[in-house]
Amino acid sequence: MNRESIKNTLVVSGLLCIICSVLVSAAAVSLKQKQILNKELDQKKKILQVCQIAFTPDSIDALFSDNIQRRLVDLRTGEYVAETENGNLTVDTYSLKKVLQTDATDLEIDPAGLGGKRENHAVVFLYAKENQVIIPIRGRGLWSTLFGYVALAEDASTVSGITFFEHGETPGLGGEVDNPDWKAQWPGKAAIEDGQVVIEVKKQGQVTDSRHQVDGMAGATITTQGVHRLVRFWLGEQGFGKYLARPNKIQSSTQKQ
Amino acid sequence: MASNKAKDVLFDPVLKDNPITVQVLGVCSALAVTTKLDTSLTMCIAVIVVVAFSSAAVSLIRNHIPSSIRIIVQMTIIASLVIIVDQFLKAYAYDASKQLSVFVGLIITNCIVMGRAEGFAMKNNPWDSFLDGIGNGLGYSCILLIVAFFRELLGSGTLFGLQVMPDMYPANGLMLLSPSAFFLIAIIIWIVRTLRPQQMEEA
Repeated sequence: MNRESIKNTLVVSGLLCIICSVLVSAAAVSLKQKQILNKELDQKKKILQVCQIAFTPDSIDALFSDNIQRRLVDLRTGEYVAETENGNLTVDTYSLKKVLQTDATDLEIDPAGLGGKRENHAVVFLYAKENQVIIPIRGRGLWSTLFGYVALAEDASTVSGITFFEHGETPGLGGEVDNPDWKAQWPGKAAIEDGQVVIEVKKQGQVTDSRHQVDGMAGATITTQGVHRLVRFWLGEQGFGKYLARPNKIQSSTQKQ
Repeated sequence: MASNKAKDVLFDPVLKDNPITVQVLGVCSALAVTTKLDTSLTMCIAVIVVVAFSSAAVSLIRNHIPSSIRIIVQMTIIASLVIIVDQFLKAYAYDASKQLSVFVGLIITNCIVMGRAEGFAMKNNPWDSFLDGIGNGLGYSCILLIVAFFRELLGSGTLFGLQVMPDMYPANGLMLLSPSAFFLIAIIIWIVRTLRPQQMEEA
């Protein structure tokens, strides 16, 4: 067969596409389970970090199931629910992507830069031993959307830890949101007082009230502002405000089970 | 003779004909992933695997590829390999794959891979092409690891995440930003070309 003929061109390209797609899909399907496990393990690791529970790579699973409970919360009412009414997701099958597609509220003001949509249901984590509630947070920085968790203690009035597990900010500048030294100033800050969000992230070097204010990152004004807005958004009325204002978050959750 | 040629094919790209210092290919990813040694090492392995197997595969079917669609055929093979490597990293080296993020996918556009497929594998047998791929991957890796060594050492004071600089060493944030890799690669090219003047292009 002539190598340059139309027939040969079609045959070669057709065969190549079939072989490549079989290989690619075989890899994707056979490794999927392992990848999902990795993702879950990574999430558990971040939760343990934000709760300041020391762990080794092998003890992550055990420590997580011993200490942490997951619950689904309806952000519109602040109540615990067993599953979402739309899409029927439970804690185990929860996926932010799905929830945002089928089960979200449009935002008129969108200070955290969520693209105008907030999910109606979210998964929170409870660390009963230390009376802590861990909520997921996210929002725009300079280049990217930052994803993280805030741990709140003493009935959600005080921050006990923060972490960002996914972001694409400039390494060394905005990327410092990940720096343990920077995150270390968060524990102990007042978060909510009398139903009002009081925590602020100030531009670097402009902290006047160390109980309510967190010092920003040097050379990262926009990321700092982003963190300020997103933390206040998720603690506030449009975020987890109703849920956080609810009494006995941990007790009522254990009773139900 | 045959073994001699294989050796040349394998080791020439490391020093004599290094894809980064001589051909100045693949610099884009060298800037992006070299802030830490362990991510660079993962990247190097990924690139070696992709370039070796894509060259071998292209070479294997080189006599059947119609010249009108040869670039697309090469791209398809390379892209498939990159996706497979990416899936493996996500399954077995999750942390590293998270830090490398899009740059694993961008191996597809790494000029070295395309360059070897088009420049070498289309004209040589699969085994030589495979060795040539490994050799070029190693050449790329050498430079990447040298750059990452200095960036991590001076930028974070660590090597492979372990503290090596004394505590009083102030980490140099510039080394963590991409421009520092430009400086380092330029210095490496300068040194290599001073030692081997025959590599200089004619002005």
